[in-house]
Amino acid sequence: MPPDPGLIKLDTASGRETISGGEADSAQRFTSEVKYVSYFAQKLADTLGMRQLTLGIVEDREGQTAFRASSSGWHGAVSSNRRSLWQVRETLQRG
Amino acid sequence: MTANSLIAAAASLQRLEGVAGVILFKGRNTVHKQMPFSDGRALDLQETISQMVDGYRQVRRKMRQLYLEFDGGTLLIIIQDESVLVMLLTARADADLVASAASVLMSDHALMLTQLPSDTPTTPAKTSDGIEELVVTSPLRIQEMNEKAEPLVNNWGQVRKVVESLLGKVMGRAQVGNLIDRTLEKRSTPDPYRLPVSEVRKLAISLIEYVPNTAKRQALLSELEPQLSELLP
Repeated sequence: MPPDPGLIKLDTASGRETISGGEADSAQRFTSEVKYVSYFAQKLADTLGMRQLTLGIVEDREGQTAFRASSSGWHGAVSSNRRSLWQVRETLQRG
Repeated sequence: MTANSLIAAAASLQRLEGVAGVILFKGRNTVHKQMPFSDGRALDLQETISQMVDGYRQVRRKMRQLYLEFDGGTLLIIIQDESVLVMLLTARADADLVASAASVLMSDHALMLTQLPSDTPTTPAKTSDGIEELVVTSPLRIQEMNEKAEPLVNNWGQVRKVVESLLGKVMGRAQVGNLIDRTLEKRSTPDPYRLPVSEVRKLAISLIEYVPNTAKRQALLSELEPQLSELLP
């Protein structure tokens, strides 16, 4: 099994965002991915009569970006390996 | 392969445990839509997902799937070129299993999906022979279509073994085989596995009735009956 990719945290406090963990490229990709998905996810949640996105896994030909809502923002990882949805969920729950 | 087979396949995803709804669309063309809420709400959902996927397309990202878990359910979105398959999952769903089945569906129907228009069709789809193709999205019609699509397969193999075993008591094995084959030919039955159950029963009885000795024939028929009742309920 490939090693878990580095955990990245996107925290928001008093309107200020701080990103920590991961390499610079991964952190930048993580941030833009979370912002893009969470923008549309909020619209989708409203349509579905739900409150908010709690976990997202975005997969393209180059890999996966996964993120989970935390008390201070989002945490997750960018990976070039394709892992099962179950495996990604498990990893994020531990993180 | 027709659009109906694609619709039936998309609808069959809902038989997987925990799949509460399915939408398959390409651009503004909704191929199949079955969600546990109003059409208007389903359309809003489709519109938002379409905008989201278009955004990825504009930056030339080749998306495969999006898994969006909300506090009350999950959206699993499988993307193949312009076609998008959206599934609403409950907590009971095995998301990997559903994603795998959905990806296989998209792959199996790739050619059909490529040929589908991206805009809402204004005229009914026509097949190559000019006959209008019926595209239906109501659950009742899909159920009917699925039932019609199910091949009729009876228990002929087991029934034949029983008949062979009974006739084997009064004639040789090769003779029994020839008798059954000749009877099928005479009855113009190309595939006995597709006969209705009542016809299989008649066929089995007619084979035993070839036994000329009345006492033996009656004995074999009385042995046949309970076995037929078990094999052809």
